Amino acid sequence: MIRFRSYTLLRISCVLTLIGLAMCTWALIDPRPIPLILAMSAAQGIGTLAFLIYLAVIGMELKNRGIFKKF
Amino acid sequence: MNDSIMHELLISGTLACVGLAALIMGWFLYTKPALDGQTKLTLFFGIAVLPITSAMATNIVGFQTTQTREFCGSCHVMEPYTEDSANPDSTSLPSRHARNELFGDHNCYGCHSDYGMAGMVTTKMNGMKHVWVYYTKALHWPREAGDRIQLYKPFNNKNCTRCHSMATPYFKGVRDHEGAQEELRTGATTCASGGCHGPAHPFSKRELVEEPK
Repeated sequence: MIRFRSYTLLRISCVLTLIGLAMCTWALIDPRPIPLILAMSAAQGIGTLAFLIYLAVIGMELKNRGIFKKF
Repeated sequence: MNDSIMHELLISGTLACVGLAALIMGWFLYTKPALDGQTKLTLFFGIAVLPITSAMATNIVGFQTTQTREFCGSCHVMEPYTEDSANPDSTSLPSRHARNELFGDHNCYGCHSDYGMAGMVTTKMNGMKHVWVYYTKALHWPREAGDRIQLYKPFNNKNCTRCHSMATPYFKGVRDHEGAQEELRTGATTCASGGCHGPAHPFSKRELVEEPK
């Protein structure tokens, strides 16, 4: 169950990363106000969220393996 | 190395990072590999290292791009201003500054950015205000709407005097400068006012430059 949830969360993280990267690419190819504002705000927020989901998955896996109990 | 070459290299590098990250994402989403240590490490590059590098580079490219004349002219009501700046035959202040390599194709930003430590931040905040006003108000204005476009506050003389020092004998030698030193310092008289060195964009202030009939 946990494995399944981790996999789903990582897939969500990947999709969010792709959306963020698409916004960055749009701003680089078509440097007008709206694409640049999106790339420098929304894209970074989406990318950060994707990274936090990744960290959460890794954290959950480590917790399940009892790594934190050693400390 | 030339700034524009560096800019192009940065864009190419960023696109390469984006492409590589997209490949990793595509591989994970499409092939659905087992979630072992190798996969997690690969995903770390795809979700963290490459996107963070891309985001940082996009910020740098973004800031550089927002300083160019071409970017200012991307709002249609600014086109007459940027076209005048780029016109080698024009004798307006912006055009003369654009021909100076210290300003070049960054001449809008060079004169309109705020001076001081927080200048870049306040300039960008004002820029956001411009975008808001453009999309909520000016989007349907005619291209030649110069008479409707006004600065939020009078042009700051510090933007001129940071290059054209008020302390040089040449500056002090001009009789009008001598008499208006205090007014210029306080901003009561602007360098770009009609009768002095302005208006900076004459076509947008026709009532000041054309003789009354």
